[in-house]
Amino acid sequence: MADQATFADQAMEYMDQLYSAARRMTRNAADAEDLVQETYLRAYRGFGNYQQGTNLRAWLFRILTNAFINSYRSKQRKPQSVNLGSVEDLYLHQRLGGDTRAALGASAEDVLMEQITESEIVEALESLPEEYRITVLLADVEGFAYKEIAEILDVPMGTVMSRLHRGRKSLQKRLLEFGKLRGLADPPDADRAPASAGI
Amino acid sequence: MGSERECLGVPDQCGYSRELITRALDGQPTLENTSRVRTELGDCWPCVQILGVEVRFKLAMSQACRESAPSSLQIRITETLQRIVLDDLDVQDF
Repeated sequence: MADQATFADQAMEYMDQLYSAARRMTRNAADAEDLVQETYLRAYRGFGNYQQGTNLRAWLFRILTNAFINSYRSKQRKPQSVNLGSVEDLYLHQRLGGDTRAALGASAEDVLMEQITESEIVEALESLPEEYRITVLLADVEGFAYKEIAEILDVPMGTVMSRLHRGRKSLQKRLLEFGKLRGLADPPDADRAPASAGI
Repeated sequence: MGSERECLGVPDQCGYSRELITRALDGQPTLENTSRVRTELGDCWPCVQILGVEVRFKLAMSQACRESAPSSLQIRITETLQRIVLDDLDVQDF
């Protein structure tokens, strides 16, 4: 049992993390603020059920995620399952090939990672369907372990792993598209044949 | 044409290598964990490259997607909680 009187002392330090996550979930600042406020109110009310000494951050994220799914998903009325398309065989480093790799040595992906802007990463993440976006957010932005994510989302580990795999690959595909615009990756049809000496 | 890429260094451990990479990405990536997985991957260079890209990608994500809560929100929540505490006191203490 946790004492409600100590709630603010323990929970307020997580506000930046919760707000960051809420921003990416709702994709706008006003909804994110409301969602974080709702999360703190729900958490305060339920703090008696929180087991002192267990993972408070994960507990708060679980409340945030549930609040988002219950309040905002129903508002937005978006389809819950979206096909991400084919991402199975995508590996970032393999697509940075050809002349680019030859010119840059082994660090083509370094160049891509350096040139991709933070706003492009945010845009790519926010373009993911909700269930993938939340899973990738918890794993890669918030650094939760797979097991914690399964608990936060109340889904089996296998679901976490498959959403993560597909979500990450889809994100990387998006970033590669940004890379292509900068001439860093091969064009879509990978027309790599060296210019042969035409007769 | 093979649909799956193969580990050139340790061909029959490809599934294992992917499992290792997945493990390296579990939670917050640490230098210690990444180095351990890097060592276990041995000289399978495609896997080592994937490991490098995936870890960098994860770090880039975490850096790009963070932002601070506005101070107005912090004040709003603190005040709201204080008000609720007072309301609760009123109810419980008659």
